[in-house]
Amino acid sequence: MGIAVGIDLGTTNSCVAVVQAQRARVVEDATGKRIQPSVISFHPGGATLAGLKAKDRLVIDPKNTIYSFKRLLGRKISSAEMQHITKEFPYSVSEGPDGIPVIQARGQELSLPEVSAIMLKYLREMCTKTLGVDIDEVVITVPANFNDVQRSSTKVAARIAGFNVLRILNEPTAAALAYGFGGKLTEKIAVYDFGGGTFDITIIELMDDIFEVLSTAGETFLGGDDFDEKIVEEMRRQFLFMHRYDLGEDPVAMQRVRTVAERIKCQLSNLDEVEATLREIAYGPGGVAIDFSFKITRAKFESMIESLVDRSIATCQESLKLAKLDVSSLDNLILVGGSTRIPLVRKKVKEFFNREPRTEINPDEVVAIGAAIHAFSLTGEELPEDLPVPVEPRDNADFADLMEPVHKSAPMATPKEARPAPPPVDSTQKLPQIQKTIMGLPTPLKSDEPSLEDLSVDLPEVRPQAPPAIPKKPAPPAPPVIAMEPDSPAPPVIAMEPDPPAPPVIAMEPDPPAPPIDLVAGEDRILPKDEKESFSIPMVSAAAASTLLLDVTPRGLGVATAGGYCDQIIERNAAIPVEQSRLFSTSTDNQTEVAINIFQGESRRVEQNTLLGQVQLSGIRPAPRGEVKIKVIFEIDTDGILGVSAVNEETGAAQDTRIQLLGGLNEDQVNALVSKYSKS
Amino acid sequence: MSGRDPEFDAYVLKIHEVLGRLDYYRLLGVDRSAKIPEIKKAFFSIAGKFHPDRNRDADETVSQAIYNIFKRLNEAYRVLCDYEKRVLYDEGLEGGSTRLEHEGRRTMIPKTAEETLTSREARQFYRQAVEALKNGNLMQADLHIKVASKREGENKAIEELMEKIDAALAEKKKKKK
Repeated sequence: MGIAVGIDLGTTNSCVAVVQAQRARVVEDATGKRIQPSVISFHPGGATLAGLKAKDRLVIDPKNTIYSFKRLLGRKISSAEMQHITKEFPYSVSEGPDGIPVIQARGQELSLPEVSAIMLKYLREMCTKTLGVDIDEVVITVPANFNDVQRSSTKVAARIAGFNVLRILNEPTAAALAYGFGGKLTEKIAVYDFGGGTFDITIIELMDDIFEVLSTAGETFLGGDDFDEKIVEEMRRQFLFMHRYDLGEDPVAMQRVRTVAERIKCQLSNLDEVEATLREIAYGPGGVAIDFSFKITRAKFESMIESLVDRSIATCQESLKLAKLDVSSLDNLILVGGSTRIPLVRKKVKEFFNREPRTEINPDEVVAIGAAIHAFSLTGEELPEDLPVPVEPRDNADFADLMEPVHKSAPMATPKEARPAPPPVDSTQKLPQIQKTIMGLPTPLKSDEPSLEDLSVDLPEVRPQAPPAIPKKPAPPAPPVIAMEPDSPAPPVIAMEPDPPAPPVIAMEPDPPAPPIDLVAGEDRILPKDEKESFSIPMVSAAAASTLLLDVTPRGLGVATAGGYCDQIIERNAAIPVEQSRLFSTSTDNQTEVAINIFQGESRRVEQNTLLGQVQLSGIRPAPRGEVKIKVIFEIDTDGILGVSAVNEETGAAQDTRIQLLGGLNEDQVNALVSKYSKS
Repeated sequence: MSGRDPEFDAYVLKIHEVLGRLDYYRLLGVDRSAKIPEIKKAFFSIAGKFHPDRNRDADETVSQAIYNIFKRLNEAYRVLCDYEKRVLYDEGLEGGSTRLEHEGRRTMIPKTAEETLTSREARQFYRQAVEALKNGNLMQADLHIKVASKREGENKAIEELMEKIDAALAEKKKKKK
C-alpha cells in the first residue's frame, strides 16, 4: 500500500488533502490555490482544461465548458429535476443509451463518469506536481445521500482516472473525522453539510475511537447552485422588464449573469446590499451597448432563499427523529460546505439546534481533510516531512491575498514571501497551523486568447460588516436605455454575440471604482479583510488515525411485488456492510427467467420510490410454478454500493444473475474508458 | 499494522465455519437479558477487532470470512438494539432460528410482466395488447400497447411487448411483398 490522498469532488469546487508528518495538508495547485473549481472545458484547440483554467472559459466558451456536472452524475435524464437543470445549462446534455445523460462538447459525446474522471485526473496530476510523488490510491467522498448508482459512478470515474479507490466515504462523516473528535470522549454531534449541489445532515455518536453514524438524511438536489439560480432569475426578470429582452436567449450573456450572481451571493454574506453592473450585456437598436445595473439587498436575497433553507431544517428534524434523539441531547454541531457561510443559513441552523456551531476548519476543505485522515488510517502510510517540493509558510488567511490592492499583487508570480501566522482561533484548542505556501495572485493564462485580459472585473473594495458599506438610499431610477415613443412600441433589444466577449463588470455605484482584479484571482470568495477566515487544520492524533467508522446506508432498498407494492429488504440507515436475502420463485409454469425490479426508498408504493435497476435471473430449470426457489442476496458494502448474488436453493449452486442499474455504465463501457484514459 | 497474528486468523476461520449456528447473543458475547448499553459496548469492542478496515492486511480467505462475520455482527447489533425486532428475534430463537429471518423465510412470488405496471389502466391495455397479439390482430395490439405506454411511461415489460409487436408487424409486411 502506498500513500493515499483524500479527494472531495464537489459540485462547485474540489479539494485534495493528504496526511504528511502527522498533519493533514491541503494539496495546492502550482499557483498555491487550495480549492479547485469543478469545471472542465474543451478548448477548440484540442486541449482539455480543468479547474481554474476551465472556469475562466465559462464566459468565453459556455457551450464547451462543463460545470456542476456532479448534479448529473448517476441520474436518469428523464427525471423532473434533471429536465429543469439541463434546460438551464449552456452546454448540451442529451439522452444516451438507457436514459443516461450524455454531454456534447467539441463534437464528442461524453458520459458523466468520463467528465468526472477528467476532473479527477487533473487533481491527480496536481498531486504529482505538488507532492513530487505519484499518487494512485484515494479515499473519495460523496454526499451521504448519494444513491447506489451515484456512488458506483463516482467509483468508476476514479477508476478511469487511474485511481485505486480505497473507500467511498460520506462527506459529513469525513468532516466529523477532520474535527478530530474521538479520543476518550462520548458525544453526539450533528454535521450540517450544505454544499453547492447537495444537502446532508448526519448525526454521529463518538465513543472512544469509534464513530457510529446514527442517522443521515438529506437532499441530493438542494445547494448553493439553487441560490445562484434565484438571483439569476431575478436579474433576468428585471432586465426583461427594463429592456424587453430576455437575456436567456444569449448563452454568453447568461453565463456572465450566472458568474456575477454567484459572486453577488458570496458578497451578500458580508454586505447588506450589493450592486453589480454588467457592461454591454446586450445591444440595442443601432448596436448601442446596454449596461445592466442590478442591485439587491441581503433582506431581499434572504426572502428569495428562505424556503430552500427551511427545507434543510425540516430534513434536520427528520434525521433527529431517525436517530431517536432531540436537539438537547446533541453535544456539538459542525458546519460544512460553502453555503453555510450564508448568514441566514447560520441563523436558522443556530436557532434550530440551539447552539453555536463549530466552524474552525475551513468548510471548503474540511471534507478533503477528513478523507485524507481516513486514507491514512486505512493505509497507515503518510507523506514524509521532507518533501521534494519546498513548502514555505504562508499567511493563514487564504482569501486575504485576493483582497490586496492590485498594485501590491499585480506583479504576477511574485517570489514567495513569508508572513507570520496569525494566532490560532481558539487558544484552548491546541491545533497547530499547517504550513502553507504564500501565493501571489495566480498568473494569468499565458495563452494567446484575447479574452482573458478583457475579462477584468471591477470589484468593490469590500468593507467590514458594520457600518454597512453602502448607504441605504433609494436607488436612483434606472435610466431608460431606449427612448420610448408614446405610440410606437419600443424596438426590441437585439443581442449580439460580443466578439470578443464584453468584460463583465461588478461596480459599486457610490464609490470610485476599485482597482480591477483579474477574474482569475477574483474567482475566489470575496471576504472583507476584517472577517478574514482563519482556519486551523487539525493534527492527526493517534486516536484519529485508529478511528473506526461505522457508517450507514442512506436509503432503504426494496423490491417490487405484485400490485405495485414495494417490499423493503434493507432498511434505511442500516449499518454497512449489510446483507439480507429473500427467496424468490417462479410465477408461471416452466418459467426460465425471473426479473426483479429494485427500488430505493422507504415507501410502501413503488411509484413513490426510485427505480434503481433490475436483477435478472436466468437459466432456471423448467418446472411447475412455485417449485424452483432461488435465494437472492442483497448486500451493501462498506462503500455503500449494492451487490446482488443468487443461489439456487435446490442445488446450492450459484444462479446466473445479471444486474442492470439505470444511469450507470456497464462493465464493457467502463473498461473501454479505463484503457482510453490510461493511454493519454 | 505489524504482521498478523496467525492465531487470530485461525480463530476467525473457526468462527466463520460455525457462523450459521451462532445466535446474536453468543455472537456478541452478551447475556439474553443484556441491556442496550451493554450490547453497544460488546459490539464496539468486537468491531474494533473484526471490522474489515482493521484487517486490510489479511489474506483473501480470512478477509472474506471477516467480512461475512462483520455483516452478521452488524445485523445482531441492529436487531438487539431495536425493541420490536428483539422481541421477534427472541420468539424465533425459541424455535431454533439463529437469525431474524423475515428474510429468507418468506417466499416471494415475483411479478408477471403485467404486474410491473403501476397504472391500473396501463395494465388493462397491456392485457388487451397481449390478447390481440395472441389472436394475430397486430394493428389492435399495436394501438393498445401504445396507449399502455402513454399511461405508464417507461416500463420494461411494455417495451418488450412493443418490440414483439413491431417484429410481428415487420414480418407481416415482408410476407405481403
